Amino acid sequence: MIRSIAVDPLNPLRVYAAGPAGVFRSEDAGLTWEAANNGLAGEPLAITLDPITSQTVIVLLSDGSVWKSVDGATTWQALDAGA
Amino acid sequence: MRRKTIGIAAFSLLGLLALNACAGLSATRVAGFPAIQLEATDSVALAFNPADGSLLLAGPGGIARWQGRGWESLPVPGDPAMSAVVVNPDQPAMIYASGPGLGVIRSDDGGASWREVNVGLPGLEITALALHSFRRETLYAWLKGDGIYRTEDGGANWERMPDQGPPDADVRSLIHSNLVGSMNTGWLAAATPSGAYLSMDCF
Repeated sequence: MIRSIAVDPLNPLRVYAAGPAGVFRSEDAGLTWEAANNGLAGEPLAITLDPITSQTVIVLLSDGSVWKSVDGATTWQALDAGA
Repeated sequence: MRRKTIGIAAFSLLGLLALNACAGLSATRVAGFPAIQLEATDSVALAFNPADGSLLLAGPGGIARWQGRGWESLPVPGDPAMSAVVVNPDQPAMIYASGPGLGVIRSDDGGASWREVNVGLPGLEITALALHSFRRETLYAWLKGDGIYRTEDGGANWERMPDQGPPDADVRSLIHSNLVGSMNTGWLAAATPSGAYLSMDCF
């Protein structure tokens, strides 16, 4: 199950995929994948990235929380949704 | 047309679907945005606006924008259930969104007002929408039960592409890639329940 994909426009070999099992990152346009969930707690519904600073990746989890990575999905931090 | 399944597809069939079956159906409200109620099975989409760092969320409750202080609802005509949202990075006030029963809508003022851009679409059940990675007037839309449509004029006209789409027609999201090797201007990747698929943009 893949729900969402993001491609790094500055390095299109780098692709992110998000689904119930977490976030995955590929450095070879999808031939191989590695988990990229370090610090991410929950089930991703959608993923996107900053097209200008493409190391910045954003994920929405099914619990409604939004998480941000500034290092290409290596580490994650929850954003304050301002509830 | 050459098409290949991204490597994760086989993996997803073995692992991700099994985990999804255990995900449950409990609904969760997005903090600070009561109009959107999410379930683990919902299709939602995110878009980042590089101009101001804001985030757009399209989901069953409509479109919401996050600017660091919680979510605010954006007005959407008709049925508020949305399937996708994309921002033109070169003109961030230009936003496209789609929804089942709504087709494709476009805003040129950052989401304050919208207009339908559905000429050429035989149906409105758009489940996914992608902006070309460098041709900003070109977008791709997945019409449920039909296939891929393309506009090259910012949504003024849509035409059906000969590509039949991925084997799994339940397309949840589309994205355009400028990966080298295409016969034209790039590739389209599709996310589906059975995995992710990549298709050469040769149309």
